[in-house]
Amino acid sequence: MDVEVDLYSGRPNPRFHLGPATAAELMHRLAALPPLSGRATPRATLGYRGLRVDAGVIESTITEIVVSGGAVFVCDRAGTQRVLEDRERGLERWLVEAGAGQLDPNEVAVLDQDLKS
Amino acid sequence: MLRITADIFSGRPNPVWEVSDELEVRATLRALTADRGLLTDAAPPESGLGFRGFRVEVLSDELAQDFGVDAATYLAVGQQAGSPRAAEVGDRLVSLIEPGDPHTAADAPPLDVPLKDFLSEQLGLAAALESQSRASLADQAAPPAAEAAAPAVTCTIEFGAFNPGFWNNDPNVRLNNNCYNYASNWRTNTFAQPGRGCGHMYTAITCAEVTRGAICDGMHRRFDCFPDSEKPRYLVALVVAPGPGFRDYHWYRKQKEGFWGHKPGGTEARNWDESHNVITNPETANRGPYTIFCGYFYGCHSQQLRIK
Repeated sequence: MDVEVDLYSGRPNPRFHLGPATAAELMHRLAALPPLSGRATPRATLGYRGLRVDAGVIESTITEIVVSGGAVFVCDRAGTQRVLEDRERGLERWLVEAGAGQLDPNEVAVLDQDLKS
Repeated sequence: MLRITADIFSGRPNPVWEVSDELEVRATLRALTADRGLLTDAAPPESGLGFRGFRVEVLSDELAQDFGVDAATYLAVGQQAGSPRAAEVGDRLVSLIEPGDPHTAADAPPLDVPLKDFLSEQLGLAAALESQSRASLADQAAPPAAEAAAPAVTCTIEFGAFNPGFWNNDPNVRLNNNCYNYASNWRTNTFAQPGRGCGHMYTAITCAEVTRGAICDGMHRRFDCFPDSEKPRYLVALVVAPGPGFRDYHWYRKQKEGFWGHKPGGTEARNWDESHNVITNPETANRGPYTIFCGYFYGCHSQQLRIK
């Protein structure tokens, strides 16, 4: 399962890979998230915006997961989207930690800074 | 069409004349915009009595966009002139007065001499004051480098209509085309990189390197004109986020509507900045971490075909 860090405008975004155990843990954490009340859209700023998980490889129904600014957007093969609440950006923080070893330290520092704000 | 007002009187209405001949209008705008240092938004606050300058109104939106000028601009003459060419360009504006034109409000008292002669004479006096002023300043300071390098040409370019749906409606298009694709107005679905198409991609995130890559792809710096065969020739702007930590480049493209559009990475194309204001000037827009403004460039058709 691959994760794209939605960070850059011009340069290709950095990516990291989740092994089977970490991917399974992600799906487990995802299943525990409550629906988000109210409307939300992924962050659309210049700079770090969130994480995009290509879930199509191992998950039968979910195709894409976007984790962005306290919300998680889950798209399935039927084209429907669920929006879940990522309290205190816990899932986003966990994913960044999971991929930190595969990212440039400067990029990790940018993500850490954003997650602190 | 142009409407020109000679800003000369204090009490009586200023003379106004209009120019409708398309070729003459374009030639005049070329002369006015050849040296951007000549133009200001309004009369300089230090302007006093006498011939202060010309207010030039461009009555066609397309003309204003073609020449990159606002709907109204101001050419100061005399001591507040932006350059020694001001009097020469002013003379050209005066020469456009046609005999019999209704120059001023109907109830204004007539001049003793024809308006054209009167303005030419006054402009000559203003130019004399200007040259005296420059002579006294010449020993104090050399002109800034940017002013010395001011372009002496105007290029004809195109502006595309703002059409975000072209980039946003299909998620695959949105995700796989970035700011460089948007600036080039060319979907490659490859997240195009400056210089990759010509085989020499940038090697660092700096203005110099990204510029080198874009020029290698076929872009030109602003005022280095493309021929008509290279239409569409878009005006674009390059900015850089210098770090530390976050290093990236970003592009904006001027749209037909007068504002600037951009597409941050795989997100939606838009015409607003980080403060959610419509972008009328990429140099002053809120660009988040992209704090370095590298400059303006022209794209062209060959560059569109080359980018990868």
